[in-house]
Amino acid sequence: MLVLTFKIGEYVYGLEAGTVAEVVPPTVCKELPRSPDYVKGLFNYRGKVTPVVDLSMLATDIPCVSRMSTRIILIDLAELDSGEERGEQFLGLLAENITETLKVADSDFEKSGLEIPDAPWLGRVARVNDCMLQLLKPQKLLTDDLRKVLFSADDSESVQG
Amino acid sequence: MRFSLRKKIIAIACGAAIIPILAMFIITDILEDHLQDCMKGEVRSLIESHVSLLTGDLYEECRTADQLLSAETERAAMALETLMEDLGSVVILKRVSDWPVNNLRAQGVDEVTVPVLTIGKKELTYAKRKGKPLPMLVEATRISGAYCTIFQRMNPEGDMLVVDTTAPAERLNWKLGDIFYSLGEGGKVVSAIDDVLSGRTSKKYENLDYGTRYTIYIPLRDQDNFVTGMMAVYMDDDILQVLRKSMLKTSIGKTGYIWVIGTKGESKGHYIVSNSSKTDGLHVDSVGGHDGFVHELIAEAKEAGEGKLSSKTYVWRTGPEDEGRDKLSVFTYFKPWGWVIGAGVYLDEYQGITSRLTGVLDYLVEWLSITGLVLLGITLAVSFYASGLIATPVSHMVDLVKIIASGDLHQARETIAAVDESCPNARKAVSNADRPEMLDETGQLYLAVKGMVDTLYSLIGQVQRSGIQVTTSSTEIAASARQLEVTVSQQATATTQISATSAEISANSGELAGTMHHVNDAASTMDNLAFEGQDGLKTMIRIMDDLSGATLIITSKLDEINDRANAIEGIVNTITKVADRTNLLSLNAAIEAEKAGKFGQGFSVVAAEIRLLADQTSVAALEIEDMIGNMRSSVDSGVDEMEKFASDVRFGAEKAGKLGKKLEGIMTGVRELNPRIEQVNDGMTAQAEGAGQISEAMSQLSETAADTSDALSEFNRATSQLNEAVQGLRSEVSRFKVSE
Repeated sequence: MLVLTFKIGEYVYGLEAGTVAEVVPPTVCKELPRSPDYVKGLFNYRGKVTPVVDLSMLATDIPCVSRMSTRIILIDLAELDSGEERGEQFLGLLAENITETLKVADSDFEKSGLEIPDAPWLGRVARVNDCMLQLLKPQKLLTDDLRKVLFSADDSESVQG
Repeated sequence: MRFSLRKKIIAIACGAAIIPILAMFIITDILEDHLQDCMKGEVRSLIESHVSLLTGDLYEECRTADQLLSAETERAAMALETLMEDLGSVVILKRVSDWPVNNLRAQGVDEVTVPVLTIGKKELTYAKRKGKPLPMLVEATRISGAYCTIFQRMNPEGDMLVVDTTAPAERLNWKLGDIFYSLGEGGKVVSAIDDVLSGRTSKKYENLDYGTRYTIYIPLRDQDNFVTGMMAVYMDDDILQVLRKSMLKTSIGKTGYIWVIGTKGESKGHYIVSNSSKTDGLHVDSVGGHDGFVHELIAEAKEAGEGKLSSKTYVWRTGPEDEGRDKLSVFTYFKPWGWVIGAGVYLDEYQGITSRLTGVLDYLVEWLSITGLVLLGITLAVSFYASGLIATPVSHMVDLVKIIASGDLHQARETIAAVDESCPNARKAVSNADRPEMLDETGQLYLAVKGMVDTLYSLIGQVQRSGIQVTTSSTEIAASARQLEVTVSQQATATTQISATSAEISANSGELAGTMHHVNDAASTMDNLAFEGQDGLKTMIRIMDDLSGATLIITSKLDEINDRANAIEGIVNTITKVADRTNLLSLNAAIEAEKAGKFGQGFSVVAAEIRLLADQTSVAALEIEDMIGNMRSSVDSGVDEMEKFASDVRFGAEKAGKLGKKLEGIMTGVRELNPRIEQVNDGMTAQAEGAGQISEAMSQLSETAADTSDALSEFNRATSQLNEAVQGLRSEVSRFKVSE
């Protein structure tokens, strides 16, 4: 399977390419006052207001460094929640060093064996080129609280519409 | 032991309170003694006067009784005489009759024979008259109340025999057959019979049991006017008995009584009247405690004379074991009866009056004690308060003055502040500071001390500061003086050196004059050389100007290169962005290809190729960027070097220009040098002379400097003395502390 790799701090993490809608260069985000620190803000993605989460901030409390390779990975909300309509709502993930994809066999991944309550989104681990590559579970990224914060307005609008 | 002011004040106040009370106690005590004495005297005199009055009354009573008795008896005698005359004459018959005799002196005979006596023809014989007195006698007794007795003369000696009587046959009365002997005991003629035998009527007090009987004896004459007998008249002793009983009943005080002691006859030395009828008739020695004491009384009474009152105080004991009681008796002597009449009281019975009066005084003493205690309490309280008013400020003041004496003015001021806070008197003094008439002495003293501390504080502070200033000044002066001294000595040295130098100058001046000529020649040569140098310099300046222009051109070229490099950098940036986009594109393409599954596999290969290209492009762009950077830094340093070179050239050209001008100045100067050297020569000669003069002046100056130096050391000594004085003053003043 194809894995889109990126770095949080010194370490390499990955996302299944199948879940990724698109990778876009970073743009100016409109900040959300009184939101959690790891919520970077909102930006316009192909005419849709899309929230962006800073993965580095989420994981290590250090914001992403502004570089050319620092980009936004867009994930269709339908990938996270089967109840959503495909192509309607996206979630942006800001991460560093997004320049490569890797072909890794599914069997190379092993369970990490650890369940960290504050980071339930950490997934399986594979050893690639003498480096540890850990998959992220995008389904766990959006906790119920965050989902309520980020997407409840859309829901109410859709109810009104 | 040390008494504080407060204790002294309290002691004075208490003393002032106690002394009057003590004085009162003493006065009361003296008064009590005096009063007791007075009372005793007064009571005694009162008792004495009372008893004297009583004794006087008794005496009067006795006298009255005596007069009454004698008057009655005389009246009875007259009545008897009258009756006898009426009865008829007294005749002695030739016959005789026998009489039984009661008190015959001759032994063994109890009868006498005497001639029969008739009065008015009535015979007076034992047989006829026994139990049947003459009617005439009975009549006389009835009229007068006196007993009448008729005696018959028995012999020429005058012994009288009782032949008729009206008196009852009692022990003391004459009875029929009694003989009245003319010779009494001791062989003396009884005065009554003697009187009667000589024809006179005799009036006699006869001493009997407890008193005296007043008897009148009347001669009885016969027809021949011969005293053949006599008649005796005496009163019954009823009056005496009544008198005696009334005396017995009379009591003086509680146990006081009247006593009568006889001095004549049978009752001599016996009590006639005493405190009770039991002791009546007893001999005085068996009752009174002392031997012969009562006899002294009797003697004293007799000595004083009839009716004269005497008084005596003595201890009366009724028995040998009896303790005895103080007794006061007033007594007198009643001569007719031979009675010593006295009234006695026991003095202890009057003790009550004295003790009641003394009790009043004791009550007074009690109240005095209570008042004294209360007064003492009040005085203590008041003096404690008042002494606090006085002593507390004074003790504060003492503390304060001690602190001032120790010199710690700072602490003194702190203490004053503390006292201002704590002591109400001090607060009052401070608040009334501008009204001295409101303050007491302690307040004024406190204010004065406070003012003194303030003044002293500022004064000492001022003195200390001044001392420091003076010390500093004197030190400075000393330092200055020392510097001056050094300077003067340096000056002296310098003067000496100058002196020597000026001598040398003088010597050298001549040599210099010679040298100056050589200089003049050398100056002419230098003038020529400078002219040639000026030409060379002008050529150099021109070349330098050309060099400056070339440099400017090079700099502008280098700037052009820089602009180009900038342009190349912009292009490289664009290339980098394109490479980035390409990378992104390849990523998205790979993702899309993955989504497309098997159909996207070819596309995924293309995407990988594209990403490879993009990476290579990025690397190339990085290399170009490095090269451009290197080039730009080279050009920048080239430009800097060129600018530095251009400024150096400009500086060189300027220098060369200035050098040319200076050379020109040198030439002018050298040309002008010749006449000046001449002037110098003249000057040198003058200078040599002047140097000699300077040398002389200098030696004078040197002397002056030595003088100055001496003066300065003198000054130095004065300054050090001043310093010492100031130090002494400071050490004295430093005893006073004006700060912590």
